[in-house]
Amino acid sequence: MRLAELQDAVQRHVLDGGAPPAALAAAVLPPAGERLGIYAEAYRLRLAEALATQFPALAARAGSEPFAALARAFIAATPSVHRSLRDYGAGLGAWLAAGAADEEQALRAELAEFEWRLAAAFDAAPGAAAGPADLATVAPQDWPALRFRAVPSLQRLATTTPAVAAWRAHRDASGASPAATRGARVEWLIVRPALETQFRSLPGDEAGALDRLLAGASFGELCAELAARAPDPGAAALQAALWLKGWLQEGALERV
Amino acid sequence: MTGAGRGAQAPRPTPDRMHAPLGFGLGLRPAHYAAILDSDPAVDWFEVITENYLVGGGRPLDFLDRIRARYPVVMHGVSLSIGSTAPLDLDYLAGVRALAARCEPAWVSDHLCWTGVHGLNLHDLLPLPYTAEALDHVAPRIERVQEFLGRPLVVENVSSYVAYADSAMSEWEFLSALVARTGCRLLLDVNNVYVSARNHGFEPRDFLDGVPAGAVQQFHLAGHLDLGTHVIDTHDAPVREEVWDLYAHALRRFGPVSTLLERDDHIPPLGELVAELDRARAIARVALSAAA
Repeated sequence: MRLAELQDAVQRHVLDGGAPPAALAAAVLPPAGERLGIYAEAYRLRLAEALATQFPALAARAGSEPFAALARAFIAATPSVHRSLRDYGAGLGAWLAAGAADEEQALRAELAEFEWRLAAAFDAAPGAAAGPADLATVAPQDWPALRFRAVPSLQRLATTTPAVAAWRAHRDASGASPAATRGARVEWLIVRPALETQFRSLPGDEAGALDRLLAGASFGELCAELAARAPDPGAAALQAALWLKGWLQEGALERV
Repeated sequence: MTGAGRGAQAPRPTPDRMHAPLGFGLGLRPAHYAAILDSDPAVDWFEVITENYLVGGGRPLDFLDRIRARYPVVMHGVSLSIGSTAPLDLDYLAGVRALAARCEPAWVSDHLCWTGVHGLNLHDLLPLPYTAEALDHVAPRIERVQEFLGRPLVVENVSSYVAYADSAMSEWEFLSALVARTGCRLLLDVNNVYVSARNHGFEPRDFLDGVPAGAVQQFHLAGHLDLGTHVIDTHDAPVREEVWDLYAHALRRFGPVSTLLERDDHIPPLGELVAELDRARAIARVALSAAA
């Protein structure tokens, strides 16, 4: 059997089972098929361990056996395409959301997404965050043209369940994980300015303004858009400046 | 055996000669980061799992930088998949090269295995058939990796549970042929030699005696699970007596080769691993003095 055929047959057996490939040498104890089963079992165990490592709050919320069942189903549906196990699980939140039939499952989907985003921020590149001092020398007439982009660690997401409260309950070992309910949409900002990952909720209008900057709007364009919707255009520009100062203090933005 | 010593900076290797022995090292695991920085343990060097640091930044790389400032390190990959019939992943290799530029490892190693085809990764070290076709496939891939990284690749023998009907040579003959054709170095995992010998019914010393002595850059030591009919490479327990015996034989044949103790599960406090490393030192003293 050619090498490519052999590898294709062995991989299909590890992923999907079936009869052992003919390429295997005969073995007595244990027989060849059982020996190949060692690899098939190890594959699923490694991915399940990776998920438990990446999603500890979800695992705690779900409980041991339900999480194991969830992991088995996700692994069966999602073969790894990653070089590093730490990258496995990227789609778990969306996968859970697609199958969420009740509020608890919706919370678990959002909890998974929140944990994944924290992990993404944890080992993102440091970037070159601008601070308030970097803008101190910008002349007033140049402010409208200022543009920014997200630092590599910045994550934006929204929740409609108490998923973040459930995450906090796990982190603090408080034992008081909240009941699953659907509520108002809450916007979140995650950023890692140095080595510690930080997050906070964003009021809806602040989240919208930040998203406009991250989408490429200049500071002047943002101010104009806010002024067009506000009864007091001057107050809108001041609000935009205050938000920008806050995002810069948080280390969330790089100058473009 | 004389180690490079704590605080020493590993000199950059040249492609044409073996790197000097580093002494006795441990696999760097996150559970031990703080203890290493707090206590400067009597470990000569650390081996890092390459894939754990192929990230943009953050705490893992920060710890690596701080530990690298005190100890020599070696990079040990698990996802090169040098034996796969899938194309080499140049993005992955670029990441390996960038990490090597950052931490200046004494050498870079990975396994003689394949980990997946068709864009998938089984996250396991699957053995190759030891055939002329496989040799003709793997040798130019090693050469390409060495050219890309600008350094020799150090290739490790894996533990295996299956063999293939088409294999026409032993694993050590295959490794020896790779060394001859590519100039790669060998990482001899003594535990893996034992595990595969038990699982496939060969004499482990034949393996050790069958590879070129001048190509062995490093030893691995680890624990395994003996199920009677077969043996599983678990890395979750201390080194077993039969592997220590084989290690002594390896020392007598290969001399003072850099030795690395691995533990990947049931990871004990750092002090326990340092004590186990001291046993390797003691065995080496006896084996090497007897050989002299």
